[in-house]
Amino acid sequence: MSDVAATAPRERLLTEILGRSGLPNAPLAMPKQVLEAQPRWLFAIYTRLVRRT
Amino acid sequence: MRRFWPFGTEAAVLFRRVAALAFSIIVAVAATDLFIRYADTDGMSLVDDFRCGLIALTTLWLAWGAALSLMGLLYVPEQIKRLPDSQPIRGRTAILVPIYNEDPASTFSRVAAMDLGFANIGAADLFDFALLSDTTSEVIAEEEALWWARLVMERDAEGRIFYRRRSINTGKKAGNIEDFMRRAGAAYDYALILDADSLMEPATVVEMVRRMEADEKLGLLQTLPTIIHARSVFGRAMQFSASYFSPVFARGVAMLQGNEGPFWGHNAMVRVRAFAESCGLPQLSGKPPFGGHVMSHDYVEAALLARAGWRVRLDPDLTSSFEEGPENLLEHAKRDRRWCQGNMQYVKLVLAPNMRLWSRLVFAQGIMAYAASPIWLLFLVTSLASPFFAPRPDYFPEPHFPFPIFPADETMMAVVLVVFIWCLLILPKFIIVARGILTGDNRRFGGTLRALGSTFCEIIFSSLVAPLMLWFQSRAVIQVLLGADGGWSAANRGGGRMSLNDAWASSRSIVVVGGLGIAFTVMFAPDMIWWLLPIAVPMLIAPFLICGTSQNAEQGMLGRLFRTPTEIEATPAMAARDEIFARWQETAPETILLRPDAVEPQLVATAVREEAGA
Repeated sequence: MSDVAATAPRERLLTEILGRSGLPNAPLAMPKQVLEAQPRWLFAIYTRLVRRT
Repeated sequence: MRRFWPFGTEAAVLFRRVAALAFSIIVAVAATDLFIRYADTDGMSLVDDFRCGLIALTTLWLAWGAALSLMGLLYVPEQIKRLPDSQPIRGRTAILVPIYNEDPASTFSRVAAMDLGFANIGAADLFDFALLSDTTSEVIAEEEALWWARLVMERDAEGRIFYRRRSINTGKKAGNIEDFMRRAGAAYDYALILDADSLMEPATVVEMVRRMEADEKLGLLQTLPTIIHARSVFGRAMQFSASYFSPVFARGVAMLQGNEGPFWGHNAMVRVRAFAESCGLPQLSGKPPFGGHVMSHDYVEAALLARAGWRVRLDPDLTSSFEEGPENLLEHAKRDRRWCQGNMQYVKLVLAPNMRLWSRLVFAQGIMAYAASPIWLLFLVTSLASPFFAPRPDYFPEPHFPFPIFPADETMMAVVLVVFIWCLLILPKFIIVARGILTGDNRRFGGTLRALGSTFCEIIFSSLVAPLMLWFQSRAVIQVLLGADGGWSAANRGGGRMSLNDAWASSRSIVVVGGLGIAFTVMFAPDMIWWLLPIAVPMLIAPFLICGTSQNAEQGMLGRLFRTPTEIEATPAMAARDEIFARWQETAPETILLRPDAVEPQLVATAVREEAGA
């Protein structure tokens, strides 16, 4: 590394740094939740009103 | 005190909720009654009926705030389960620091200070840091990488402090956290979610882990962050308010929370598996501002955890949890614009399936936090217009009575109503001062006289800026209702001093509205002018207010006001962070990194490789 430091430009240093920045590889599922089952017609009416105005 | 809450926990929470709601409704009914008496002097018009509805809504909202503070004054600490100090902590915790075009030296110096604190109490091995960059600027991203390398080198934190950058910011901050959970979540039991400007004492974080370990159904534990490092008049007034008044409001929230406590998006710990299984946020149907990513994701995540049966709790006794705040009114308004858009999205979520009733009420509160401003504005406008709609006075209501009957002057009713509303706003603050005398808490704020002086000044300050906030919030709500997306602007942390020119450029519309309001009132409703002046005058002088309150207030008379405990004595993490940041300011990171002995060869060899920008 010391010889790199002696000669390397900033770009090379950056490449070096980004190569060793990783997180642990430990995937975890994250299912999407259901949030919108409410009466959509209420919101649809509102949206139409706004669009018309 | 416990005798006054003679029920089991769930019944007690229900009792408190009903009591707070009943108090708010009674106050709102009383205020509306006063208003009707005043407005009915010359007969009720349709406009008066409408104003009646507006005053009922706004006083209900103000009374709810007062109820929270009164509840906070009656706070009874619950018995909290925690892992005894004699038992070792088993779980691993990731400390997540989402960043978005922030100053890396400032943010990473906080990480260095916290890591140093963990090392000092022998807990460094239990905690990893993940710096989760969503930075869009290539220049800042380069700086982040260099400062991260310096941070790792200085803290000898290879394999403990990680950095990753997303090139596409799907889901913004919530998506940033979700990305971490999906890729690395299984490696950890708990995640402490911070903001880029968050700082927490390691002892507090360890205590949080002990509480999470002792209660396996606890899904999220929130602390009350207090503001630090404020320098301007605006910043220090907010800092004092957050430090002196907010803990009481937080205790009020805790009294009513049950298992459905709040999540404020940062300075909170989550159980990783609970969060992962419950908090995957979908895209909302439609386009922004109402559709798209959930912007104010924190309330939604808290509600989703509660829906899945996890406990969400705010523990107001967890202190030494800090954040930084905006230094001027415009930065505050900019942040408010983003929060407003996020909270308005709750209209789509308030009826979401299977949510707890309390979560729905929290969504409604989130909407009302911003809707209250345009409602007040509407009340003001309709009040100015009401003389045009007033029925002609009937001086001879009795057909055969020879003398005129003049309507009674009910101005006193209006005065009583204003005083009543004023009390809802400021009385809790003076009760907090009085309580501080009894508990000795005022000593932490420089003594009772200084706390009282600061409270007076804070009330004057908030009264002056309230009309400006009202304008900014009303504008934000109207923009959102008209479908304008405010986007995701980076927070301007730190600097905040504004010139008069800049202040004028951003507030001239307020000056014009204030001036027009006065002119209209003088011409068409001169009797109303004294009622309008407290609102119109701050609007007229908005540029001076914005500029003046953005100036430094650490010295002189202002410096002696708004003193907070952390200003009087910095905590160890604060002192460490200040020392590290000052030292880092002296040398650019590459100067250190490019030294021949700077980076050890094994650093590269042992690291887990991640594709840059993936």
